[in-house]
Amino acid sequence: MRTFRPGSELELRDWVASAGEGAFARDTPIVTGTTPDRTDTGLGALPRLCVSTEALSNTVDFRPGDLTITVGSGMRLSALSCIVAEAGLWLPLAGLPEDRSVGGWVAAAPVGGFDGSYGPVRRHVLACTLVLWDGRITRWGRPVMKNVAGYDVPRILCGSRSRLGILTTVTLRLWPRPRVLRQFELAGASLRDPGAAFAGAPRFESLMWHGSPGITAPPTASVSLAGGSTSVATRSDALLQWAGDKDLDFQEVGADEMQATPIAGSRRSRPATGAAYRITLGRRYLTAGLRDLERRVDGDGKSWKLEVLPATGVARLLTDEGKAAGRRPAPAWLTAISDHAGRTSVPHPSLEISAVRVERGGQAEHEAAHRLRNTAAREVERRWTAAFSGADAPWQADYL
Amino acid sequence: MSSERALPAGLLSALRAAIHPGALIDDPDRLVAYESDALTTSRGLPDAAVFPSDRDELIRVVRLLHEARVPFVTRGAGTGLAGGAVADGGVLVCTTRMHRILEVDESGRTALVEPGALTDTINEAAQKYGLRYLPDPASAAACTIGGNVAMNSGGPHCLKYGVTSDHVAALEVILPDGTPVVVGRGEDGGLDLAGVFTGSEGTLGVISRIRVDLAPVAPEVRTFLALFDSLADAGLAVGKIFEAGIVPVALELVDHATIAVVEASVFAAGLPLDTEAALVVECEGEPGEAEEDLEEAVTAVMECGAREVRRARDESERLAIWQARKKAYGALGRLAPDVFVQDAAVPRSTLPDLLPRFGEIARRHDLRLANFFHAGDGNVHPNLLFDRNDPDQVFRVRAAGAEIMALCVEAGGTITGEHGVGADKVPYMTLVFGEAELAVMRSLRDHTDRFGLANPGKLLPEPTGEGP
Repeated sequence: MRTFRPGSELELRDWVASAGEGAFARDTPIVTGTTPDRTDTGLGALPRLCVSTEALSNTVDFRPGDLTITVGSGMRLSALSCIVAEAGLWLPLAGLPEDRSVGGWVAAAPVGGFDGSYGPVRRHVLACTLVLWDGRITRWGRPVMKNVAGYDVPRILCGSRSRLGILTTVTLRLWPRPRVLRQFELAGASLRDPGAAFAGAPRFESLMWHGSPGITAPPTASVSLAGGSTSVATRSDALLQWAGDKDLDFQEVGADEMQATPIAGSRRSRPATGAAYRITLGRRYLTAGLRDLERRVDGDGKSWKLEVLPATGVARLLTDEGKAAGRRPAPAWLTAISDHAGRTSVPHPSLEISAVRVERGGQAEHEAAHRLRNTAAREVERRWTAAFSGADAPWQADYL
Repeated sequence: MSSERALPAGLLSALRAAIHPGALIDDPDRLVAYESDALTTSRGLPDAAVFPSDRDELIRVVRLLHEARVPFVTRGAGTGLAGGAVADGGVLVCTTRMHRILEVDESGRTALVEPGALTDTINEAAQKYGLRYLPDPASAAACTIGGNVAMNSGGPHCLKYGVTSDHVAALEVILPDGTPVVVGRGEDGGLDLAGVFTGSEGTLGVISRIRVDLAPVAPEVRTFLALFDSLADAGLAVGKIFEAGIVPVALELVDHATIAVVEASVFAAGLPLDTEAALVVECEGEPGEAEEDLEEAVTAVMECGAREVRRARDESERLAIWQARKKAYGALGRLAPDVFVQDAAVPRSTLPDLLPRFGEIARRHDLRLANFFHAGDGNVHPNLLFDRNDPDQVFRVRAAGAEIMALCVEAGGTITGEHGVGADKVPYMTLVFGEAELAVMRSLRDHTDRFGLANPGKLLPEPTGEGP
């Protein structure tokens, strides 16, 4: 795999502009970001070209009083967290599985435990600079909390991987650091149904459920409470009472004070194996959908892990088995629901968006997930992608 | 009187056949009612207005307009403040008859609604289940959710919970060629298409159904009013509240001119007339939580020189405090027949510097100015009072407005925080976008609307023909 390491935005622009004249072909799988050694791309094939943003990792503009920071897209989230923590601010990132670049975080838009209370990634992105695949440098958004001038391009870039261009700077909305943050681990058989288990529990700022389909070990849940000292103390007591009534094991794992680097483990990314899927069921169908999913994956010979965010009705299904990308069959459960969708009317008339996003997987997984999508939306997306960089934009690009 | 002034022969009869009887207006005398939205300086007369009753009628209407290559403008209740729902010729597609709440999903905490549903009626339907729709534009009692989505509306309570876009789960949009498309937020591995349709001001199609997110009603709400002898101190207090680690659900500022006019109206809240500025602060949460945040916020404003703090002791006192803020726009009618409601957003730390400069600009143009705005998120509304029947005043208002916009952009801000670009702010788009960005947005629009039929002339300036 070739790697290009631009030292500046202008160098990147010049390279992309010249590459558009033939240095990379339209069907070249490309990754951008800071972790070129990883193979767990969202691409259907192994990347053949990498654009490293490692050198674009400076703080461009930090305004603590305005709760905004602009950084190079290559800055790591752990570094960002340290910078803003010194000013008494934070990004609600706790529970992220890895320490990726800011650009990679925006482009992948992973789900997080705090999504239900602070909003998902798109809520935190105010502005950005994007080098289009034809070499133009474009700047979107402003460092302000509200902005409705023009189409909301920063929003469409969240989760867009690198399909519309390469992010070089990102302006983020920050939050005052909670006066108190407490984190707890719960475990017990009564957590079996994440769609219903937390009824009657006190309000959490963050809740992530963990389980393994087909495994008899009791499920666990990571819970965070944030706010004023009296409020958090009251809710912690209520949580303890509730957990006791449910016969749950209960353990406090965080300190009273906010951790400076709230990314679990803060470890550098490493080459991953296996596959990961994000499945949007919605809160209403969470119980039934997970039951169906567990039935489908049980007995397929793989060891699966399930993470669920009950507040948003999103589940992540992961396995460490097998290669991360390349040629291999899609799992039976995905093929089955994909075939089913192909035979029924899509889109669903009631606007239920129940969808699978392949976070890590090979060509077959992508094709199966693609069949779940409604054709009219796919056509809009094809046109809008062309609007950014013309028809010569690469087909397969990801941002790590 | 019937007219087919500029419309192709047969289009009116085809439209009539496509919708319920009586749901088309082509009498110019009746069309005058639709010549502007709430921005009265921007006017135009459509050739006809249609009022589809449901999604199927709407699709038929859009297909007919596409086949005839007739431009159209989508309009909700006409409460917009940017001239976005004004048609100068062509057909006005009014969604006000599509006002049903199709479903409130209690367990999923969403509602499926038609675009003509009033924002407040969604809340009324949700409240039966202990739920609410969080964005609260000041016109919520009169505006439609379709208009909110089209303009990505805000409101006082967006400080903590986000604007309309943060609460749209999925949309069905009728593309300008009549194709219906359901879009979500990229859950399926695609792009966040709903995020761009939201705020696209009717230039990418007509919204036919919306699934909005709902949230539980807060168990405890606490509100206070802080009075200041200095506008600058009030501005500093805003920052101090955040420094205390608190994000109130609303943090609003009302200036001396606004207090004076509100106190002279039926909405008087008993504020001293020598008050230079007042902050409305609202916190909410679990029992005890809002009270704790409120006390921290009170400490912060007192440290910044607040001369008095008035806590709302019950719901009626809370509503009285909000009256002073929410009814200010109506009360300004006592001072002048028209109000030019400016809307910009700036980095919050620039407020103490900018607010006096807004006043200087107004004085230089011999205009009266009233400020009431969302101080917590830097979304300012420097409102200029005028009489639209006086061409000189209109000219001065436009000149002052342009200076205020340029000042806000120079401070790092944007030309609109929540009202949208519409027709009014099109000339200012080049202040915040370069030619490369405008070209991408035009291309996105043109790839969606090949014949340029959907809300032409709004949102995006056309190319000047000069090179970048």
